[in-house]
Amino acid sequence: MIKLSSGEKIFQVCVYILLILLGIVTLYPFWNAIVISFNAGADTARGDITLWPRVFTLDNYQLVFEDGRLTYAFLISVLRVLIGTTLSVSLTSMLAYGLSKTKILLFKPYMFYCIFTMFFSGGLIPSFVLNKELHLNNTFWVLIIPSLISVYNMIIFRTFFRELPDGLEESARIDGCTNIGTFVRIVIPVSGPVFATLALFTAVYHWNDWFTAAIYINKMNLLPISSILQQILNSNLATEMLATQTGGNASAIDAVGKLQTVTSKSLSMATMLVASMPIILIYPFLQKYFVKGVLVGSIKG
Amino acid sequence: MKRTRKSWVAIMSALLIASSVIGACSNGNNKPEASPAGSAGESTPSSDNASASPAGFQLGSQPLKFSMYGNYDWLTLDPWADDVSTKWIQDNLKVTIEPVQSGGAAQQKFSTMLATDDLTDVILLDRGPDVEKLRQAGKLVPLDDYYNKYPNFKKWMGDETINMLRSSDGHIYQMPNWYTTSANGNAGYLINRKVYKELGSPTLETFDDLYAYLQKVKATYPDMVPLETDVEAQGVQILTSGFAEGYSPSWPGTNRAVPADGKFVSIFTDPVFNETMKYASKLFREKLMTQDTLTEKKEQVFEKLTNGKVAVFTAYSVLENQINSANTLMRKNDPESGYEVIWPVHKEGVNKDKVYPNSYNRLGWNVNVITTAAKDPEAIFAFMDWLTGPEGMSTLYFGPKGKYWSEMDENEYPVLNDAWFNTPLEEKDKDKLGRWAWVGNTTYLDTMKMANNAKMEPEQVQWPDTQQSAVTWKTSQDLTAFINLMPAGDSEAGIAKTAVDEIFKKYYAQALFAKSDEEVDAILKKAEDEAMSQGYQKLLDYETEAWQNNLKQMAGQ
Amino acid sequence: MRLQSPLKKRLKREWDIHLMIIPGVLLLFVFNYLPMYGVVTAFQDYNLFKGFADSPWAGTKHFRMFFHSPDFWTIMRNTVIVSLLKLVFSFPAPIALALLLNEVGKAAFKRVIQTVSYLPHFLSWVIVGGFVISMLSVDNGSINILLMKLHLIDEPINWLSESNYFWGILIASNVWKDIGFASIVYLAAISGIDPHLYESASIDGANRFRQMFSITLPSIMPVIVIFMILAIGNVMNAGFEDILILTNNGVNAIVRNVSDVIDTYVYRIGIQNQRFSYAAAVGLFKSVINVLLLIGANRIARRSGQSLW
Repeated sequence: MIKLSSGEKIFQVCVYILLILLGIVTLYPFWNAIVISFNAGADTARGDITLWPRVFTLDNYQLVFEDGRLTYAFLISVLRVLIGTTLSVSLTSMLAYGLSKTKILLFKPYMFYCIFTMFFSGGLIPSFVLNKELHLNNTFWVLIIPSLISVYNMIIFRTFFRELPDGLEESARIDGCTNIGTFVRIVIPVSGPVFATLALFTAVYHWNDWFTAAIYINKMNLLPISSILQQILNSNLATEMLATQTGGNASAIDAVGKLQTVTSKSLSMATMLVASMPIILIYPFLQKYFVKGVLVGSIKG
Repeated sequence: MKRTRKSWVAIMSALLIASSVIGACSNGNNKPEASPAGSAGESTPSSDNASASPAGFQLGSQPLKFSMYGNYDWLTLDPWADDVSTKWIQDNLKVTIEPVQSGGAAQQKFSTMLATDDLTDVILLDRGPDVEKLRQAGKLVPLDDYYNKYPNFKKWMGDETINMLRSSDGHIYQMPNWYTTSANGNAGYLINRKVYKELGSPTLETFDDLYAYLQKVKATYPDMVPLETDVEAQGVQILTSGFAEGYSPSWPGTNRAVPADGKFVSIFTDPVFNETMKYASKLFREKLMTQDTLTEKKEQVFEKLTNGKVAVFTAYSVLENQINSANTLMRKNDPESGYEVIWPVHKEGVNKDKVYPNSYNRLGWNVNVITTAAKDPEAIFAFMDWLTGPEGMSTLYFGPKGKYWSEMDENEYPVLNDAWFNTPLEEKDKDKLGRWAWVGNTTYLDTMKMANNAKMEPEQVQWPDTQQSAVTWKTSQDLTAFINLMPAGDSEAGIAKTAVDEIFKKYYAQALFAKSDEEVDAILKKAEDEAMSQGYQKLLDYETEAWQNNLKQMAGQ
Repeated sequence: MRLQSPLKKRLKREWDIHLMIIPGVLLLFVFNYLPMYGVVTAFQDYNLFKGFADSPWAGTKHFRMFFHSPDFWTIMRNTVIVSLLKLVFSFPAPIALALLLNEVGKAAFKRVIQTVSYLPHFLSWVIVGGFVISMLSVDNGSINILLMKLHLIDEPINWLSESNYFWGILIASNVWKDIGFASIVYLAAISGIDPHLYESASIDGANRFRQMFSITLPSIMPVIVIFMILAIGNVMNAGFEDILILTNNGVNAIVRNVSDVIDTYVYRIGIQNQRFSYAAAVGLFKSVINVLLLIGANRIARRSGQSLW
């Protein structure tokens, strides 16, 4: 262990303090959301819920999980994330690797071609019409195929690939490896961090995206979890809203019944947590890819 | 590395297989096929489902399936046959509705449906420009003949109301939802009973009374919000109703113009609005009105009300569910606390019986239209007609016949049996009553509600109902002549309207922050000038013309 | 061996590179270029029923309407300022976080902070906005209550109604929400640094603090520069959901003179009124400016060795 000077010690302490403060500030609202989701809605309306539920209830989660559509939706979302992420990351990284070779023929046209799409688009209706022609509408694949290539991600991949030491690929070429072979056998294994990062980004996108399904899919069974959760939330909101439309007609339901424990606020917290937990839990598992010195071994070896 | 690649491939193949299985499964079910329900056959009048008319589609004679879309971001149509009422309808009348959801992006969804001519059989949407667009594109089925053929809509709406639904080509394309012939509404002034009592229950009739009361509140209870005016300072619009007889909060709130002498004129030069803004500004600057009114969210308002931190609350709806819960809770702990709606506050000299914070229109909230995509429009109409009648409404709100009621009384109201009164709430919640209601017959429901309440003991009647019958429904005026006054967004008048809306919101907010009456005058003058330069007159002319057309239509021309 | 032409030789070497590129190119062609004809709406009076083929031509009408709108300069100013503020504050914050996290020795602590700091990303703006608005409210807001308890102010401040505070509130919320998630990329870049560099540096007498600036930062500079270029190419998209929510869905008109940016303006005026063509025209204008900014930024960056092309 290298001895730390007193200046370095102070520095260390400052770093720790700053990070702890950041941790508190970012954790608190999330913790608060968890607490609210377990607290009776009517009680939450009185305010001042901070660190622990005051009137504990599982009703909000019960309402969410009771919904029969949830199992299908969960399955769809998981499939979407797994397939979508794998395909997207593979294709985008391939494209990025190819474009990291700036000396190839047509390099500049390729780059302009890609970057242009980041700025100009035809809008929703032409895409809708296109997907309809391709018979993608109202199928599972409309959630995956149109968004397979992300130019933004491609640029990130490319930046990382370009930073790899030349020696790495040289040795592979000398050994007679094709470019594709080099990519698969050498580049991918040492690019753990960037693959992990972009896999996470893509997974988060697929998991959270509710808009694509809202527009392109009508079949109940094909709706991903983000859409269903939105609907559960909206359903509850509608019940509350309709109860006061035109003179409170829709309340054959006693207002002081179920609405004691489930309000739109407490329900929205519960749905938000159900929606984000799976993805949040992925990150710690990916963190092992951010290990330093991944490159060192490969050059020497 | 070779190992990882192989397992990769294995996983991928497994997933691809799994997904194609799911894909295949979902292809098998859910084919949105409206089965060929034959059109009106010659049917015997013995079927007890088709009320009076001999000819026409007989519900239950053949299966009827159609798709429906609700054009609202926040709306999710519940799954059909998921609750007792619609399940009964599916089993006995063989009707199934397939909901198509907006998914939270109604506008875009609607646009894509229109652009690809992929409409659902029925659409639930607001009256006005969207319906007109559909009609102009020839996508709607005219319903004139059906209105004459089937009884309920005609009976419960009345001819005058039906006339109001006619489009510019003279045909009717719409089925209204929540239409009514009697007054309703939830707007008004809510007071905190405990505070009121503790301050000596002073008279609260005029705006001067209110001002004095609010000052007293502020002096006695420093932590209390004297006047809560709801989000977007909407409560301030309610105040306008008290400054002149028959003045509606919707003039500033929705129309951004005031009807006078058969024409719509600028709101910025309107004396009533001017006076209201001066009063409101005074309250705001003396901190008698909540300082958060322009920036807060609804849940914050509820929080304050739930905690009893508001002395007076005025809004378009003071009888929301959350407020009802709050009131019940407060009264449970202390019978003297809770909230109460008082008779609307008014200016000295204004006839208090002509103060209307509320308004209603006979056409209700929105409409259903049947599109040319429907294979059997008459069958759909017949079903909707049944649904809007007493039997349909009772089925939806009180459950199917035989469960909580078996017969109807002389007014065609269901006679609720013991099961209804004795079943505990948790059980009743499972029935999920009242979920599907898109041709709501408010006339029927409201009168029935009041009749039922009259039969109950006073303590059994729900609190919002008591407030409605005591105050809010009595202070509501019929503004049916003023519907459909908003131009289409992309028309010239529409573009002017958008500009005026922006200007209104900007100066409305500024006026509240004004430091003196003179400043209010200056602000409103600025607003007027700016609005006029942005085409305000076009909006005014449009509204005037639309209003006059309504009057003519109501008279049957 | 016959002499091969330079072109053939090149292709022989590169053929599989092109093979890797082609699928991406094809996908972009189908899903991005084929629908691009929709851009033409900006020059039409688009009618949903008539479609692209039959809607009447409007030329530059919508562009001119936009440029002549009374709030044009205010909106442009706000857009530029908000973007600049985000560049100055929201851009470096994740980098700083990544650098600090890198200094932490204990792996467990690092993991915890990493995970916790990216949680706000998953709260929707609706929830975050609700939180912020509630905290800053006059009647019940925790910030005001705290400041009054500490005797720093006598009366509650109406934070959300003061134009002066709006930008601060907006940027602070943005930083808080995305700092953790955005730092992930930089952490990935840092993990690619050769640890031996640090060893030799400390042998030379540089302390950890110096090392951060002389080793870590320069090593991830390429990533930083690329992101900077992309951010500059995004200036016209100063923000939408965050501003919309913090102004209570556009209702808070008091601060509109500082809060309105191009996207919120188009949302209110264009999209909510189904003025597709107008919205499309403004969108096109934005894109053109963004592209020009991107090209400019890239040109400058090229001098330091990094370039997008």
